[in-house]
Amino acid sequence: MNTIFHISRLIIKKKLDVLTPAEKLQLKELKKKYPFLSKTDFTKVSDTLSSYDTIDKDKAWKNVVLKAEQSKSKQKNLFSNKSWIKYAAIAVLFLGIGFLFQQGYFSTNSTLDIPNEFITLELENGSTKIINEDGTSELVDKKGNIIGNQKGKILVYDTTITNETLVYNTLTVPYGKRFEIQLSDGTRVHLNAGTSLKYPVKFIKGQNRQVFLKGEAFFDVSTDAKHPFIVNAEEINIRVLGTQFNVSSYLEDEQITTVLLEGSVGVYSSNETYNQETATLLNPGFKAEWNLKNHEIKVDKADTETHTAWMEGRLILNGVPFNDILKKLERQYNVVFINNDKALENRRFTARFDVENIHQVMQSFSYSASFTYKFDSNKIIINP
Amino acid sequence: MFTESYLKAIFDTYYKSLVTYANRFLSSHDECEDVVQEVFADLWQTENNFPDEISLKSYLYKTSRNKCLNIIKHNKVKDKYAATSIQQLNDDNLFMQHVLEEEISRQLHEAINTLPIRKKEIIKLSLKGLKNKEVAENLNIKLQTVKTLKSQAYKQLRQRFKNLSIIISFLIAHKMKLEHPLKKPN
Repeated sequence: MNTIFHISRLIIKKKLDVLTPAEKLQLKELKKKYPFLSKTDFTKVSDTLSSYDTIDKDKAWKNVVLKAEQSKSKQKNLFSNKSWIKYAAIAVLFLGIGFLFQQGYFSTNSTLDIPNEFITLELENGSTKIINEDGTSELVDKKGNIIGNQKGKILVYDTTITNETLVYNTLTVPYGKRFEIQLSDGTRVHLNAGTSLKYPVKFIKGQNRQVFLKGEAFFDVSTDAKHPFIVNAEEINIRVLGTQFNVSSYLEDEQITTVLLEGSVGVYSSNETYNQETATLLNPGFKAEWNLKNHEIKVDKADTETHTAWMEGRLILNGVPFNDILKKLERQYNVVFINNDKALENRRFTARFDVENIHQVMQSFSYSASFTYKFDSNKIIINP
Repeated sequence: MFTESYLKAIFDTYYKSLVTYANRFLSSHDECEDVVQEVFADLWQTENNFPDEISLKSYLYKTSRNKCLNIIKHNKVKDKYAATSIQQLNDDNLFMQHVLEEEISRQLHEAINTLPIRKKEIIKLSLKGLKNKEVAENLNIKLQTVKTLKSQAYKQLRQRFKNLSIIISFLIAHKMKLEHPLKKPN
């Protein structure tokens, strides 16, 4: 029955000619199962639309309120009537409900309670500052000079400050949030949830521009041929002169992935110094995957949108194993999954979520993958 | 128990489509509205928990169906259509087909309602199967205007359904597809 609601949308999309190839296939399969799908009658639909205009919803709602009140007073009478049969019936009912509770049919305390964690900035003196995403703040160095400004979800470092020595700041974005910074050379970095970036407050003239990444970030590096920009992501370094690329280096993942959108980058092991001959060079539209187990690198063509959709809060999954999807959702929404449906673990899914909240994601996901779920504080428990 | 504002939101979304669904079996329009109003009044009292809107939606169509069935069965007046109606109401496949049509209407209505008035009129007429020329005559506007507005309106609708879709596709990888059907039978 529930499939019908999904199919209704597919049929509208078919009518409007916006089905994706995967959906076309899906609809074809569904037609085999439900032959009546081929008979969908759009004249009936348009008749229905016209009859909608004759229905007065406001009046109807008043009636609903009235009816609800009437039946409430009826129920009261029922309880005041002292008949033991009724009490017995109620007792049985309670036993029944108790049984259902035990079976987990009702998810009573099934609300999601996501803790609010803060974006933090560790300053040169080791102190930590909390960044309020809804506010603005000024960043001051130990001499009292303003070195940066934060406005909402972006922090911009001053490009005019002069520093003789390297002084580092570290920005940490918790699960469930995203943030953007502009470094002193004008390079813009989008930080995904569960990411920290360590970078100099001011890059020093004559030295490489080096930053340290844990997690995932998109870099739009300002061009400066004299000062190569180097991202250190755990076991690898990524060296560029000026370009756009995405690096994902979450520890819980099995690989560090670098995806190039524009320009060129060189990827090499962080134990080595850069050598043009031995570094892996990437062309736009390609990705390099560094395997954290066997320390090997693999270059492949990449669908760049899949890797950068996170910046807009979207999630595109192309044949991604269930477990990896859960990891992504945990980071994006700051929730914890407990998966009791082992059969799902190795299944791969293709899906696209456009800026939905976790409730909507779980609703459609559970529906498509046929599992049930309940919430328990910040945990989402998945059952077959 | 539902809060009034949540119930009202559900009501606003589904009331009309449930009424037109009931109207397939009960000829009196007032009776249809009455039935669906009762469904919502009952829902207000119910202690049922719905894990998501889809199950709530199923519940609404199913209870409307049952109420129609009860009314037809208990109707003292001999209705020569009653027998066929009962048969139809008991047919699960037909039930799904009906719900499907109602849902298509409902979602289209919701989408079309976001369009400006002229575009709305044009889309409604063209869904009825009217040709552009007929639409132009009907609304007393130029043919070219109809063409332009219609293509703009369709573009808006396309965009909406492209974006609105929570799941664009959920196909299990090829190999797995052979081992598992698309959805476990419930």
